[in-house]
Amino acid sequence: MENIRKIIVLMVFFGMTVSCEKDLLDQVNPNAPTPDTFWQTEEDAILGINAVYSGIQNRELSLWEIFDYDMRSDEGYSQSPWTDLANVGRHVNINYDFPWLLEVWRELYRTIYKANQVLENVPNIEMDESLRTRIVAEAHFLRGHCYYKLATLWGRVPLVTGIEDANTRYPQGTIEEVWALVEEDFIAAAAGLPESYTGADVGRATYGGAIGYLGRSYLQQKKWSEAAAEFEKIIAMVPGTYDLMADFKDNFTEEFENNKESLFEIQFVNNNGKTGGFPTYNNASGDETSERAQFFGVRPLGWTDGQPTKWLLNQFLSETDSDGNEDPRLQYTMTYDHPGELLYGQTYAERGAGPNDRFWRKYTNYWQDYESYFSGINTRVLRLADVYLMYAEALNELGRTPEAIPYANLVRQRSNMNDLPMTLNQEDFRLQLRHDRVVELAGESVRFVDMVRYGIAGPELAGPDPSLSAAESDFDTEFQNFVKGKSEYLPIPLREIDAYGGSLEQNPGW
Amino acid sequence: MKKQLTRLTKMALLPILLLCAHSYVHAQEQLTVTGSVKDTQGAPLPGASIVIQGTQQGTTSDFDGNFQLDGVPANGQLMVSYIGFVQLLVDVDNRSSIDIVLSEDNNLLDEVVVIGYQSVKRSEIVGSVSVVDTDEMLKAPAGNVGQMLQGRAAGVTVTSTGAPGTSSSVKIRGLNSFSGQDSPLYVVDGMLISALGSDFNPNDIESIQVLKDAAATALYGSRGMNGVIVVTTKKGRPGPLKVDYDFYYGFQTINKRLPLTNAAQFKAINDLAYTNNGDAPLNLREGVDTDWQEELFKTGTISEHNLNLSGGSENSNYFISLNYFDQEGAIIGPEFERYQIRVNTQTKKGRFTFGENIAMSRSTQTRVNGNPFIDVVWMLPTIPVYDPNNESGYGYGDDNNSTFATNPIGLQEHYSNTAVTSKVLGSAFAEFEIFPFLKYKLNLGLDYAQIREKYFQRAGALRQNTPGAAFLDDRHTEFFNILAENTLNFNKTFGKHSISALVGYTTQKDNFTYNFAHTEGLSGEFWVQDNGTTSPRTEGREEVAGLRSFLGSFNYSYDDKYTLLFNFRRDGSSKFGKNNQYANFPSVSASWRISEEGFMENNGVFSNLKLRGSWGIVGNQAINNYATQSVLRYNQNYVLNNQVVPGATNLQLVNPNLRWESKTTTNIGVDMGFFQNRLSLTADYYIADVEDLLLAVPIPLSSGNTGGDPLANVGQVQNRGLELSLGYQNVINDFSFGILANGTFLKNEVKALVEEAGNLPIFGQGQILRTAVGEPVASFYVLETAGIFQNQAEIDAWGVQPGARPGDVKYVDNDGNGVINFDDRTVVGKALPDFEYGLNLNFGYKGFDMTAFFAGVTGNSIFNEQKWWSQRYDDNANYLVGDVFWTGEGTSNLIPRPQHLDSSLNPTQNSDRYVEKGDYFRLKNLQIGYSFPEAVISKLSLNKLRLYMTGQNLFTITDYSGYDPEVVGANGNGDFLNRGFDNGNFPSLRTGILGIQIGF
Repeated sequence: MENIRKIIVLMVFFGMTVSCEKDLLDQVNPNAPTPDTFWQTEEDAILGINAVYSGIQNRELSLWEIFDYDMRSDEGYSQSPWTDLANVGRHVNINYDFPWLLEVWRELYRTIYKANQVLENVPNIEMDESLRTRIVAEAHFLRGHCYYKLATLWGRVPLVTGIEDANTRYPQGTIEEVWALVEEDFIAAAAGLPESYTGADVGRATYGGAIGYLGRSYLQQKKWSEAAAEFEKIIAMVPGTYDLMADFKDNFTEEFENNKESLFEIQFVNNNGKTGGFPTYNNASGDETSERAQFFGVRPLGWTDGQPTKWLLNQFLSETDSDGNEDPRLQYTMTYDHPGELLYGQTYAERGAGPNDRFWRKYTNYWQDYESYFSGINTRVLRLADVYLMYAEALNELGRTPEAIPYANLVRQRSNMNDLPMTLNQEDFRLQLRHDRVVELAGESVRFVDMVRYGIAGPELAGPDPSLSAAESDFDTEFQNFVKGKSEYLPIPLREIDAYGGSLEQNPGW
Repeated sequence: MKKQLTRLTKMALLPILLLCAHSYVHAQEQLTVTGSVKDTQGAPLPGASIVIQGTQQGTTSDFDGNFQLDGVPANGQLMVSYIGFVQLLVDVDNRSSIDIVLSEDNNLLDEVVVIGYQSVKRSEIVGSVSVVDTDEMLKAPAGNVGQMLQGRAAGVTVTSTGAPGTSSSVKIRGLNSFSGQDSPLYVVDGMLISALGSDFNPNDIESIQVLKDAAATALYGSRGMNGVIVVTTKKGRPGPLKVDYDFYYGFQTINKRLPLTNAAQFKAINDLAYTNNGDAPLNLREGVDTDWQEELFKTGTISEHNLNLSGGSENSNYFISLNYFDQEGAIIGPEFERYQIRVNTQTKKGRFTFGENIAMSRSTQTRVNGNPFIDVVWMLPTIPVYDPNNESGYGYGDDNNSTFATNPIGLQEHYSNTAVTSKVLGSAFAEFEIFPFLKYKLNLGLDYAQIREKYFQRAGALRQNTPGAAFLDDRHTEFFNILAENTLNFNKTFGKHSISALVGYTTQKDNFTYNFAHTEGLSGEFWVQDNGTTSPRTEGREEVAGLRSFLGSFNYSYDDKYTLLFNFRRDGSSKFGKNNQYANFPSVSASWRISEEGFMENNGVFSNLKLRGSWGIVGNQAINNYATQSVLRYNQNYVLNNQVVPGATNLQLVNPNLRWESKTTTNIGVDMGFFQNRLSLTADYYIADVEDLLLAVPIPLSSGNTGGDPLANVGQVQNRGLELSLGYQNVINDFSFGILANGTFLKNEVKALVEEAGNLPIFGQGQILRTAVGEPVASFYVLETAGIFQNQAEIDAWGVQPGARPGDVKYVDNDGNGVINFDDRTVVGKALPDFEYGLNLNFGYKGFDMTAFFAGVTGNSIFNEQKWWSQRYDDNANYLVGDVFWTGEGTSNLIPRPQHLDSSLNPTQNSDRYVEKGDYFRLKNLQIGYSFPEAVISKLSLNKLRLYMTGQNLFTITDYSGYDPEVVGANGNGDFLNRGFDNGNFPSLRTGILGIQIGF
């Protein structure tokens, strides 16, 4: 009996002890702090803004957007056996949720969400005031960068400018409203950004970047005088802050990144020194590399998922330099089958490439004998040569052709091309400038936007025989499917239309 | 009927006898009684309990059924009992030698079943509970309990794949929850766990009860919503050591083959597809003709050893089992192996009872890599399985044999994906009888699992344009879940009134840790982290969840006719924010045994008639830990000045105000017995309204959310169902036979979704599965087709597809706006069946027994992704022989003109062309056994020797053209976003088994 009492006491004691943990229901996530405890210090502000930059670098944005811009222009086409992918450049998007469309949309908005967190929280942090101003301005810059892309790829997109709860359905902006937001952001950015950085901060958004981007945004809306005014602010910074690089090719390699010609770049580095396998991103020892060279490099080293058109080659071949030689920019932009052409050290025949195969060389590591997912080459978003040509366009459209021509010539002189005569009339110079932008900026994601601005995109670009491929024809035959009033913009992802349930209108024609 | 009444009268008298016995027992003359206990066939019953009525004094029969008991009052009575036999009260009548014959208890109504915190007689069950016939269930060998449950209980939906070591999808009364955590709660010997996987030995199961309505599940409150499966493992019986050994060995195959083309047939179609696009045909490899199905599929094996040792004395018993299960898949690669040991013991000392049930297991699973059942269709017959010219040694697509399929054999052989699970599952309890009518019980449960997963890839590609460098991933996960339950159980009868009540306080704490390591640059066949030279990467996290509950139950019964039951549980969970931490789950139910009424006496029809009704609320707290807490994410890295710089921000939106899901169920049921209960029929009708469903609602991408859509409490779903079970058993001379049939009619309708967002439909897999208000959960929402355009005139007449060419698929302009776009999608089928059924037939004749088990479903559809691959044509994949595609006017109205790189993607639209009927009827299991007669086995000193043969999935009647209509869902997920989507489900296997059972 004595034992039984002991056992009872023990049982009750044990039973109550094991089941009476006081804080059982107060479980706080032990893995990470909550946002409530973040956004307190200067260090938090820096981490927060870096995360926004991380967004624009994300492969699903920085890589896929190249296809959405450059394959849809007359510079590029795709022979990918993946029909959905090849279709992007053909202006045929059957699957509105094709990852290379949907993910660009998604990552742009994810970056906007990150930027909005900075804009909402950093102004309340007690910290160095000038640094705080700069970080807020950087967030405006990066949000402007995203909305510029949304404006040019989709047009009428939801306007997200603050932090809302998950059930919010955002208002769809008109094209004017979206552009207004882009302008506001770059104006706010320019007001707070420094002209340049030193040391560890090199690569952040600058005043010049914001002004140049603002000018580009005005230009796209054909606000010629506003655009010219912004570009003049950049030109005033030459040569102190900006100048053309002596050599065209130094704009597309790892060696001369963030150079004096550059206004803004998306930064990459092969930090782990890898040459094989797949990268992983956004972890403690992750890779921060560019996969562009792998996707556009010459097969079988790269995937050759996008290639330059014969039309683009023709543009280069249509004009020789002042010594009667090939435009020197050609060999640093693309390859074509001619004597002496080497593809990563081997001839066309050795690489098994056909006479109608042309490959992008810009942004690839063509001096190596291999390609990989681990390219460190920064993507140049805006450089001075582009600013000069845009400024020339704005002036020309304002009827100030003679003032405009010298800026085009600055870019031509760098590549040993003859000066344009000062006697060119507005229309002739307009056409010449369009050509000059193509050969200078091919593969830099500006051509499609230019074509929309010029109003020249249309099925007539496919030429007389649309049955030929873009590799054979002198025209980008992919334009046969281009529908004016529709194909200027991509279809909004079906997933997004479904999620908005009627309050988000699909783009016209899709 | 009369016999039963007598027994009930006796039982009612029992307490009175008990009280009286004490007063005069010592005054009586005492005897020493010897005797034997046998069954009606004359076989001895070892371990039968013989107790002097009114005392604790007693003994058990020995191996030969004999017993001796001292101090028996000469006019006393002996209570003789043996599990599975009718208890017998024998008058001593001054006899010193008594031979007792017990008859088998065929009356299931008196069977005592465990329904969670309590045990009750079957006849006293008030809620909706299915008692599974585990004897029949165990006749169909399988790796996990879920698979065995298929078709065994009304209202239980089981879908399984043929992949070794995987768990089955078990759903009770439809898809209740949207959270993805829609599987029932398992209570194994009192331990509450969320899954019962392949690491659990099904042979240990003594009984399974499925609790379905709120009356039955309310005591599990926040975990009762998806139903509760109560599993009780075997106990030793009083008597000497009893040994049972079972062994079987069998073969398994995938029976079905898709009629894929061979190299010559492929070339003919492929050349046409290229020519139709204006391209030169591929220069396909010659001299290779690979049948990818034959290369991948093989004859698998299944075998199991199970050894039980059990026995006990009057006060203690033990049950020990050793189990080894081994399955080698029916395709190259996957395997599963399990070792388990279980020890169950129980000891009674005076007013104390204590015991433990504990199982330790270790299982090794080699998993299926990739999606081989899609790859066999996607691969081309002109690609060899092995190609020494490739670094990996495996063949895959190239420019001349272009396909982006992955070599399915290489996937299994060149890559390796294994998981080793070490697990301890068990409970220990102590029960103290404070008074004869009041017991306190402490129950401690443990569910501990350690899972080590290793995944590595050897260097070299298995897919066109997809280089592969060697890497190794190690994952280590540990679960440590502990439960403590304190309950007080009251049980007392006052005359015709009987009351039982329960109060309890319980806590559970779940701990989880996870570590991950990755490395590359490995050389040789040394797959350990130490051998990695580059790219090391680690991950890790920890989680804790707590649950605190108060529970109560009150049961009042009058005269065994009227019963009223109240159940209540209050749960608090750490997963919810402070404002919604606690929730209450009440239920009330009542039953009326009409057959016990005087006016039913001698009615000649019913031997049992009971009406049941219940109402109650149960819930679901099945969300991820910390789902209401927003967190910061580090490593949002960027590059500045060619140096990586860290970033941090919030990525995932959360809803801090999440509440518990709740389900309100009203259930009406009737139990009927006829012909001395030889024929029984149970019917249940219920309406269950699920509210505040926890769902990761696809929010706009423009919200900027990363890492899974945030959970929200959304809407309302109503499930209505009718469940029928029918049983019949009879013995005529040497011939016995039985039927167990059950059927479930289920209807569900979505009443509301996210109201804040205007009740928008929710889309699942591929924007194909849609759940919308007014429709059943998970409907197939695709374009409708109307055949193939035969000529330009048809295209012109059709009007809405101006760019189409003859031979293209004709789509229906459902919204009548003159163009075909995504607004034309419509519902063409649903993923859940209307009716599911199981039919078990058993026959016995002398030593022979036979069981046939059929199961089937009707009314559901399946999206067949293999068909989509074989008919898309724009991208290279294999084709089906017999697919008559369009080659000119009048040639086909079903399959379009093949055109490679067809930029219109006309045939690939998600349409009703790929949605097929999912109905099937299948012979799941057929077993024929023979038990050797007593005369033979006694010579071998055995008491049991049975040989049997089993065939599984011997035939299936279905119109589904894929491998198997038993489809869980995309990537094996059975939830509402993936259900019924066949993107390469591992098909069920045809199995042939030989087995032996020995007992001594």
